[in-house]
Amino acid sequence: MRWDWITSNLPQLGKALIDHLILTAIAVGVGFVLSFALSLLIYRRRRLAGPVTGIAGVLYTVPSLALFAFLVPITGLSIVSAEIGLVSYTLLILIRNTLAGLDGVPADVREAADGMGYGPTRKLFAVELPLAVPLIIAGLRIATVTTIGLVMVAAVIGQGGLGQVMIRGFNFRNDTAVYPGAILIVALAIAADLVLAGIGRLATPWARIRGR
Amino acid sequence: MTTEAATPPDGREAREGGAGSVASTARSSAATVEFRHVTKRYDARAKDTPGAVNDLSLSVPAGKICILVGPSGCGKTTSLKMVNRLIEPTSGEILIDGVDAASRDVTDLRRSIGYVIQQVGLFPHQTIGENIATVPRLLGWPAKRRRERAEELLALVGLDPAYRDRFPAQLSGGERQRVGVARALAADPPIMLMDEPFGAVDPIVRERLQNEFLRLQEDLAKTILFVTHDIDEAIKMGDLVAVMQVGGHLAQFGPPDEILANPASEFVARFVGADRGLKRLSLSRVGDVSLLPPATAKVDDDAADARKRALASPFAYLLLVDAANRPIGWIDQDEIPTNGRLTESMADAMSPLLNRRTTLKDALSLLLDADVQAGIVVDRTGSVLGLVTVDMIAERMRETAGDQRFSRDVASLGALDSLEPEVAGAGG
Repeated sequence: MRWDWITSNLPQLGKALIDHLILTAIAVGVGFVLSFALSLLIYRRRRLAGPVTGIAGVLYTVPSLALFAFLVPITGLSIVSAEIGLVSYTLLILIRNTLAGLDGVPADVREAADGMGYGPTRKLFAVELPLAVPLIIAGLRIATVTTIGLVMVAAVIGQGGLGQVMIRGFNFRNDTAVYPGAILIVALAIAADLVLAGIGRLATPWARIRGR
Repeated sequence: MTTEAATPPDGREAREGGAGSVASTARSSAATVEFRHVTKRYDARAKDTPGAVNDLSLSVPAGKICILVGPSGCGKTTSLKMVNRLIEPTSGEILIDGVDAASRDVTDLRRSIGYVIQQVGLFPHQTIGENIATVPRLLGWPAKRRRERAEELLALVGLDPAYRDRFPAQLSGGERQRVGVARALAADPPIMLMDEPFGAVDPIVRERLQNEFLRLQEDLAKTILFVTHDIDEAIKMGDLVAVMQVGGHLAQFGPPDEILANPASEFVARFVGADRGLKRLSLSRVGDVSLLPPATAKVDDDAADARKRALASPFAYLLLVDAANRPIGWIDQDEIPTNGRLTESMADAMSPLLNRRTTLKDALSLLLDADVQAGIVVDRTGSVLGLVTVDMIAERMRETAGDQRFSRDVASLGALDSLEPEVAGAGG
C-alpha cells in the first residue's frame, strides 16, 4: 500500500467518483422515465405486457461486455454507448417493479375509488401510483445498486468512473490504485441504497404502520 | 337534472318544514330509486350465469332501506352496482328521482351516491380525515370545509376526532367499517349503496354497527340499497326486502313482515327458513298484541273477595300488587285463604317483567327460560298493564304459519346447496 499515491491522486479519485455517480444517475434517471412511461402504457393496454417485458428481458440477458462491444461500432467509445447499455439493464427491473406495485393495489381500494367517482387518470395518480411507491422505490434501489456495479464494466469503453481507476491499477500492477476504487464503489453502492431507502420511508409514512 | 328544480335549495329547512308528511316529500335529502325491466346478461345464450339479472322491476321510496337478499350468484350485487353504473345494464333503465342514471355523467352520478363495500376499501396511504373527505375533495370543496366535515362525520359515526390523523392500518375492523360509512356520507348523498357493509366483522361488532346504523338512519333518512346474503340481517335492517333467486329473478318484494307471513313461492319460504314464524316474532313487540287483564289484588285486600275474583278469571292465579300497582308476585287461587286479609308473604312465584318495546321473540324466550306461562307487562313506572302468555305468542306464530302452502315442504327439506351461507367476500 502506497499512501503517498493515494494522497497525490486524490483529485483523480474524486473526479472518478463524481463521474461514476453521474453515469449512474443518468442511467437510472433515463431508465426510470422510460420504464415509468412503458409501465403505464402496459397498465392501460395489457396486451403490450408480453412484448415490452420480453424486449427488456432480452436486453437484460445480453452480457454487458458483449453489449458494449456491439455498441462501439455504432456509437463509438462514447458516453452514449455507455448509457445505452446501462439504461437497458435498468428497464426490466424498473418495469417489473412498477407493474407489480400497480397490480398490488387491493381490489377493494380500486372499487371504492371507482364507486366514489374517480376518473381513470385521477385514480391512477391519486390512488394507484401512491400505493405502488414502496415497490417502485424497491425497484429503484435494485436498479441503482446494479448500475453502480455495471458502470465499472463500462470502463472497457473508456467510460468507467471508478472502474477506470481500477483497470489502470490492474494494468500497471499497482495494487494501491485498485483498492481505493473498489472500496469507493462499495461505499457508493451502500450509500445510494440507504439514501433511496430513506426517501422511500419519508414518502410513505403510512407503510411504516404495522396493521393490526 | 330536471328534478333538482323541484328540490328546495336547503334540504335541512325543507325536512323540518315537511315534518309529518310522507317520507318522500318530507326528506328532500333522499331520492327515489326505480328499476324498470333491468336485465344484465353476461352470456348472450345462457340466461342464468351467476350475477345475471333478469327483468328486475322494483321501486324504492325516498328515505327507505331496501334490502337485496338472496343466495350466491342471484344478481343482488350486480343490481346494486348498476345503480352507480359500475356495471351497465344490458337493457332496461334505473331512474333516480325519475331521471335515467344512464343519461347522467358517470363521475357526477357516482359522486352523488354514497358507496360502502364489505372490505371497506379505505385508501391506506391517506389519513382517516382525508379518506372521509374523498368525495368532497373530488367535488372541490375548500380544505377548511373538508376538515370540518370530516370531524363532524367522525363524531356522527361515534369515533374520536383524534382518529382524523391516523391511517387505516391503525384501526380495528369495526372502526374501519364506521369510517367507510362516514366516507360514504361525506357529501350528503341522497342515496347510499351498501354491499354487505357489515359482512367482514365479527357478530358482536356487526350487531352493534347494525343498531348504530339504524339509529343514524332515523335522522338521515337516506334512500338505501343494501345487499346481504343474511336473511336475519335483511329482516332487521329492511323497510323493504327484495328476495332474489339465481338467474336474477325477483322472487318477492315487500316489507319484511309480509315476506315472513306470506312467502310468495317455495323458494322464498325455503330462503327465509323454516323458523320464519319465530323470525316474525322478532318484528312484533309486546305493545302490538292485546294484553290479557290479570286478576289483581292489593296487600290487605279481603281474601274471600280476592278469591272470588281469581276463580272468575280464566287464569288460575291472582297477581298481588302494591299500592302503586307494581307486581309483587303470584298467589295460586287454591292457596288463597277463605277469610282474613292478603299479606305479602302469600305471594311466591314471580314472572318476568316485560315492557311494550320488548319483542315477542325476546318475550317468548324469557317466558321459556323462567318456565312460566305468562309475563307481566309493566309501564315505565313499573305499574302493571296486563299479561302476555305463551299461548298468545304461539297464536301469533300460527297466524304466520296459517298459510300452509309452503310450510310442509319446508319442514321436510334437507340441506339446500344453493342456500348455503356465502363465503365472505363472494359477490351476489
